[in-house]
Amino acid sequence: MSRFARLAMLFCTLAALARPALAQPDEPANGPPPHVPRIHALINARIIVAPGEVIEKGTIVIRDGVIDYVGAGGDMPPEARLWDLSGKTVHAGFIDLSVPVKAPAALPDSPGLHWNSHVRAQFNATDAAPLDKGTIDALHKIGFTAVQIVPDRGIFRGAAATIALGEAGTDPIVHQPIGPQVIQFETAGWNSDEYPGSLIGAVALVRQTLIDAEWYRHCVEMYRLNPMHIEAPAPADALFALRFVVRQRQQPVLFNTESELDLFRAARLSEEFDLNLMVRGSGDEYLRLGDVLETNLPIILPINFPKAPKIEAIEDADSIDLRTMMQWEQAPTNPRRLIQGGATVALTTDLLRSRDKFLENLRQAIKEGLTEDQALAALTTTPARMLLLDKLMGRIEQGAIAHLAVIEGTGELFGEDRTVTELWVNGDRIEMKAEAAVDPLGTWAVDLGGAMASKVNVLITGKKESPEVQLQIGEDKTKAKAVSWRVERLSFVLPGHLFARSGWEQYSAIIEGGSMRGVTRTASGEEINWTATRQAPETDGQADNQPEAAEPEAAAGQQAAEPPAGEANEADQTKQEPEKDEYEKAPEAYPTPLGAFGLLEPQPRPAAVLVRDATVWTSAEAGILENTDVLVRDGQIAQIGRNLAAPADAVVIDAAGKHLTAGLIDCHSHTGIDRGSINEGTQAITAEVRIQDAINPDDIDWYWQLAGGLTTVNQLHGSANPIGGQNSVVKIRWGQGAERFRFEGAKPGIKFALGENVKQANWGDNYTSRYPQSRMGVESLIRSAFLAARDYIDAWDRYNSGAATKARAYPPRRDLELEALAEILKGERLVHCHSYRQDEILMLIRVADGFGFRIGTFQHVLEGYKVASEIAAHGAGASCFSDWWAYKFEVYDAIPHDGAIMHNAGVVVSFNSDSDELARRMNTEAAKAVRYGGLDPAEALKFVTINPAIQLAIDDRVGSIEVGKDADFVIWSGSPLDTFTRCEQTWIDGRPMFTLETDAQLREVAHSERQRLIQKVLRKNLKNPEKTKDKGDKDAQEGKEPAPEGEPGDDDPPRRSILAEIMRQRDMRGYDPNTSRPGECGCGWHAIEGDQR
Amino acid sequence: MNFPGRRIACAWAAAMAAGSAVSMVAAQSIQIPGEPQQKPVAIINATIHPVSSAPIENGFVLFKDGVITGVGAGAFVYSGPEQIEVIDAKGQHLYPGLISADTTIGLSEIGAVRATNDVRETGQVTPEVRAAVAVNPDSALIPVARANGILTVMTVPQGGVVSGYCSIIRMDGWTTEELTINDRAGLVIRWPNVRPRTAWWIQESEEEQLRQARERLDQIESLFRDAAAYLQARKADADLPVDLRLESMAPAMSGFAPVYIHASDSAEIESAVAWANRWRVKPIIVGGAELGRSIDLLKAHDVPVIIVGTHRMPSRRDAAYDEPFTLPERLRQAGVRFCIASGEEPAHERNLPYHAAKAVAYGLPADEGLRAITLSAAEIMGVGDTLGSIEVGKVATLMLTTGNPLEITSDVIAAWVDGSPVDLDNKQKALDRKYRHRYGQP
Repeated sequence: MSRFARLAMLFCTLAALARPALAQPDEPANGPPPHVPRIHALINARIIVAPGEVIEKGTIVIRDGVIDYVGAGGDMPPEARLWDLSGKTVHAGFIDLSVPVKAPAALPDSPGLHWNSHVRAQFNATDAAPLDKGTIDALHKIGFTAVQIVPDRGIFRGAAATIALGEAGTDPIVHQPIGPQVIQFETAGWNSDEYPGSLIGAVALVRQTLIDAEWYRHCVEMYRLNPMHIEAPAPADALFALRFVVRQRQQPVLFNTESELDLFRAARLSEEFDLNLMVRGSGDEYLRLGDVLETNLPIILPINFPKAPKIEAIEDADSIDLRTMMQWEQAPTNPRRLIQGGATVALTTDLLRSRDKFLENLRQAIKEGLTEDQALAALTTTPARMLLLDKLMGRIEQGAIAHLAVIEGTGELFGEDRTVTELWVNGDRIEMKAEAAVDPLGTWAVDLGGAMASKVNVLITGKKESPEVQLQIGEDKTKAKAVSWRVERLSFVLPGHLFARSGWEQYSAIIEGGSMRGVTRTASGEEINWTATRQAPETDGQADNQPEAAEPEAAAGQQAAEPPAGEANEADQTKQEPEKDEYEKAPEAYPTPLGAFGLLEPQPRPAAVLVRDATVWTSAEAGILENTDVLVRDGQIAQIGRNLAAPADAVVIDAAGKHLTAGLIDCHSHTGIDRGSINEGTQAITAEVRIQDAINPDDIDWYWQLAGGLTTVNQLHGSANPIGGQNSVVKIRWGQGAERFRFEGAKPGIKFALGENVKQANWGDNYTSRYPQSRMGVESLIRSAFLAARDYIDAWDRYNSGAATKARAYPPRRDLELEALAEILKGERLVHCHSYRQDEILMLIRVADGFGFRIGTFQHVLEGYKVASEIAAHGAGASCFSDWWAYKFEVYDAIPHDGAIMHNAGVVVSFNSDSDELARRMNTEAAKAVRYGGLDPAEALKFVTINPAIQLAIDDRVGSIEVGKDADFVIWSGSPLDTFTRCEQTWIDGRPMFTLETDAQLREVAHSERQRLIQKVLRKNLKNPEKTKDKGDKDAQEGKEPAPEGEPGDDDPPRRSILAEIMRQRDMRGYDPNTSRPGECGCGWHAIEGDQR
Repeated sequence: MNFPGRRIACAWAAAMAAGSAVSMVAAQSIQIPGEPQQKPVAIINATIHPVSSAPIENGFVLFKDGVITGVGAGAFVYSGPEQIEVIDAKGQHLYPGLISADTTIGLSEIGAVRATNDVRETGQVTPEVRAAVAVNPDSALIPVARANGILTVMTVPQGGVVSGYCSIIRMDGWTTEELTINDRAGLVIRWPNVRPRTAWWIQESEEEQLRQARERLDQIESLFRDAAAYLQARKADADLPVDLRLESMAPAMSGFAPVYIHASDSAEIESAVAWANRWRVKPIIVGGAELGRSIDLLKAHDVPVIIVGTHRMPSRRDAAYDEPFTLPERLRQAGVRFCIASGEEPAHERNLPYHAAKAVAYGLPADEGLRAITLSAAEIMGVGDTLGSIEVGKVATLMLTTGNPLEITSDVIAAWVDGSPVDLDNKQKALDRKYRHRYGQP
């Protein structure tokens, strides 16, 4: 593994140091110092040296924590203590590469602290709170002997560390003190005051910090080499700690991903900054398996499979979408698909709600085709290799650290009955299951030597460690008090009247296998000896043992789905057909995106397509052409004309009576932005954030918009701040990945915003302190931002040109925010500015004039008609709503004639949606320019075709039906401006992305898949009725990071985020809350304002 | 042709003349309400779309004192004593005014400006409030909606569990009293969401959601119980003191006014219909986006549905993309009575006809699409005997258009409410003129 081999020696040497024999001197002993020899021989064991390498009966010699010998030989060192492991199996202790440890909420204040509390790269996991007993016990129970602990807080969370998993309460042996730097796109949501409040902000902060780290490293190095004539760099703890991350991949980075989309985000960062990257997966990797495998990233993989959804009631089933059911079905195939696809995978218990689920889930993964050897490798050799500790861990071989797990039996490694009996951690034995541990639970018949007529029983129930005791005389039961169970000795107190005596009587008993020997001391002090014998079969240690609940007829009646084994009558034969071991494997193929309307394969691109005899709205000089053919070749429009010859390999579409237009383009959308990451609203200027970092290609809205003829979309940042984030232009390439959605070569842009939203006018009374609070301040803020950008350009120009001074000056710091603003000044980035009132439109025009650049588009621009000539003179485009108005004060003067007036004044005008829903019918929006502005229909259609293409500077590729352009077109049942018209086919790049026929098929598939999965879930849930009831449905929420065992969870009290509040309000009003609506622009604060009172 | 009246008015010219008098941009409507009809008006040579019957090419309509007195085909001959106004509407189309069955127009001016909103009262149970008393006759939103033929609306209080009474409003007049057709047109109940939801923005547990739903159901139930007891007591002893809230329940509980139950999915609808039957009130379902399985139930109990908007997203991820578009046709095929409302913000109520058009594009017969925003709406709202179609005896609330009003490109040229001509100008047209003037655009 060359990628690991490239790790710096630093990490290897640290690892080599981690030997307890070399520990610092102990405190002087109080009394004779212990000298217990640490030489052990494990004999007669079945030894799994490594996956696929087995010694059926062999010996392991451990000397001072290190494996000294492994083999079948019998030459025992006479000084070794012998451990006979006959009938048991030994395998290398498991390694979990992602065990969260609690980091402090805030790092101690110091001059070198980063301004942002999420950047805490200097933190070391070894300084976090030690693992609690619950976590360690749970890990031991599975067979883990070493773990990589990862800090649980921050974006740059600090360095992970690998420790031996010794017994709780002992100081852990550290194998690797400075492991990978842990990064996660952590956000606090819209209502947090701290940056970043969004995914896009988190990505930007990661990028900026890595840039800063490299810059800081460079500056420190400069100063170290020659401190003359320059100031010493100020302390920067986090940046300093990152020096090995940014320097030649010396320190690896562990990215915690929350979805497969996050994995791609991490991979892109890795390419940009040449990181030595591994990821903690999400469990969703199978959703885009090919793309994940292509990244070749090592994955620390959780097996947090979703719970079966609750679908027993019809309405519950209706509420569960196919995607959720498919996730339930396919998630267990994830480990197998990744590993058999060639990925480097280490399994982790991370993200499981309870680590007790680990083996159960692993068994399911094995049922889905993961082999035992692959599972073992993913728990031993692979994680060891990922740590670069493969000489020391993961295999049972001479010279390695003695991390071993011993399990009962010599059969399956991960079977239902897997029991770890002991662990060897660093050569020290940890006993897991006390041999012949006494189990008091059960019903014990007391022999009082014939003193009592009725039967006397002692009923012991509850937990083995803290049982409950009842005394049963005949049918009467009395609960014993002061029950205590200390090793093999049970004591309790009962009132004497049960036996016609007085006062309290003390009972004490010891258990010897199936018999109990006891004594009762009466109030008078008399001691009565008794014995008891175990009646009910011994319990298996399950929590809820109910000795008295043995009513077979009731059980059979209630639980038809699980008749008593062995005596099923014939009528029940069919019902119990799916036996426990008849595991129903998930189907091999599944659609992308997962769920309804996903595709098994991306839509194919025919070599040629000929659309015959359509009314073609060219959106070009040719205007509207009747009875015209359009020929597409290799995804581009090759020919337009009458009676074109069909190439032999062409798909021919008869479009007689139909209309054909260019694919519609929406110049203002917030569709398909992952995790609601539309706004980074925590700062007034966030030019560094990029919507492209949050594209969600799986949003069903995409498909629904394709069905309305939409093909290209300008995904914009919201309007929470005057200078928002960078836009993303995409084609709706449904079924493909986020990167494939991006409109390659589209000119970069950025969102600006003016007016009520940015001055927080409708956010409520608590939002009165962020600058700006007035349109006056908006102007000043933007002006000052551009002044800073101009200085930034100058600084770089001076630095790049002044060779003489360069040696003695630190280079300017690359600043992503100023860089984006500088690109605007240089004309390399288009400003798309949310605006309403004429004064603010004119203001921005004048600011831009002053700084010598041109605004790309004014968005919404509902008073644009009042300054149409000024907009035209400046040369900006205008992208407005067709007819929206009066939803807030600044749009009270909006009129539907806006677009036409601006068009007539010479402005390039488009109509946009700003709405997931409106984006489904942009064609009829265009008709409103005919109605209210008197525009010619062909001209009106351009508002949603070529004009937005011009505004986005993609008009050389899309927006019209002209030879040489991309084959993005729509076939309509009638005129596109007619409200009775339907979209019949939508093509992108010469691929049929939506057709009525395919849609009908996909519906059919969705329906039958739903029914198949509902049945499968029912079979599963009804087989195990108790299990679905146990913890309620909170368990079903996969993907949420659970608090580690034994910890209370979040410190912070739960706050309902403003976004969540908006969603809830919308939901209550019967809107689809996920749907962004025109004018809200990700800023529907006014909606709350109105509704909360 | 020989017309005793002899004055052929060009309605749009009149409208333009009225409009040009508007020289300033006002924050509120400054359009002057139409005078009560002075003399009979005949609209001739138009294509008449009565809705209740097949279109009449080259037909005429005569109305007098605000009531339609004649509808026919071919040449129009008037033999009455008085002078009449004759409008030659050759090439134009006459329709009944459009009816919006669910809006907040008049109650809300600017969504984000709290001071301009009178849509909801505090408290969960407020049957005593009536929308009509708070409708702003000078709302600038009214002339904008009117200009697209929306001449009658049901304006509806929002919020709470029992929101109050919705009111039927005519879209022209000087005062709320002139605007009001029926102030207690129906009692509005927002049915609790009985199916718990899980989504990241929902923090309440399923149990908590069900508890809240239960609590709201109890509020409805106890209101009806208390009201029943109260009304009986008052009947027995009229001297008992009046409880305004319970007294207000009389129209709904007696079946005189229907109960408009806002409910979206089948679980809610099933529970609402069962409840309504128990109380023997007349339910009308408003919303019904996910009514799916409850269609049979609605049909069995003849419960009408006001579909709130076809310009919606499908209700679930697995639903067909056109699910909201095909809902009207599915109801029609099942034989459930329905009409279509827009569900839009009040400022955008003018787009009501395009919601109907979407249903037509996806299968609803075109005449049914028109009926869904005229006669069907009137029938469900209880004013089918006077509004919603062009028939002798009905009120003359009419519009003259350049084409099918379901098409965006059709314009409304003239309109009458109860026979009074409506000023179709509005704030937006005035601003349009003002700024075209700035650029010298025609």
